[in-house]
Amino acid sequence: MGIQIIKEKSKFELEVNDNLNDLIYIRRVLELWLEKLNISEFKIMIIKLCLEEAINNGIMHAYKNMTGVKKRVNCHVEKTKNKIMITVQDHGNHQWYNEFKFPDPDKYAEKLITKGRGLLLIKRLAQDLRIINNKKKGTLIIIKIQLDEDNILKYL
Amino acid sequence: MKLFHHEIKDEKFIISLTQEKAEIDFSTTVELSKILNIGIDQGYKEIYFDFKNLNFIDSSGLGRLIAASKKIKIIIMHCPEDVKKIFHITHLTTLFTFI
Repeated sequence: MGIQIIKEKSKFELEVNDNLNDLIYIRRVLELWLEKLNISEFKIMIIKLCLEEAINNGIMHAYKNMTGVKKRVNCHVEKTKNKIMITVQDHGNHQWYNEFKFPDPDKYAEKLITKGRGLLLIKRLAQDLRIINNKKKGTLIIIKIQLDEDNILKYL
Repeated sequence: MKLFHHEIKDEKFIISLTQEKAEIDFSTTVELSKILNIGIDQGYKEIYFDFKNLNFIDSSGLGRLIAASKKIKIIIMHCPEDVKKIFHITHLTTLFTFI
């Protein structure tokens, strides 16, 4: 299995390769770690989803047109006081984000758009989403999820 | 182990989940597509999903459902409220029918 996981009391780190079939295992390990931190089931679902979408994004988009490069992302999940911080770093082509535009969810269903939903989900589930491009290092996605607030409520 | 199961009941094509705390993600989308195609190929214009065991769905799962909705009407039954919020925030509650 192409993942390495390091768990500490308040930090969870992993490196993921391009086998997205491993995600179910990653989610399960993450869930068990979050349960020990007494985080609610709903928040656990949000955290799992945000991490997964960021990983999917890195593996599926960041390495296009790159040959001979090992596809991988490095992830870090940390709990500090009332929030969870997630970072996902790919080492691929930073240019995918220059071409990306958040789809308008009001037109989603109407136009039956099937791409771009992952980052939109993160944007709506988390309190903060930042995407930092670096020509040499790739793209870093930073996600902040407040444990005592529900960003999602304003979209319901 | 297969995640999806289908049956015909009261002339309805119903897809249900075989696992408790089932999760639909990238690894299950091929199976999802196949089972949807069974219903489509049999001429059903509506396909029902019993999501009572659904614990998680990601954008790849949502994308498959959206793609299928171009051909058939999707009706979702017994979706847990927390999971339904994911459909809400992507406005997919306007595309699928929830009962």
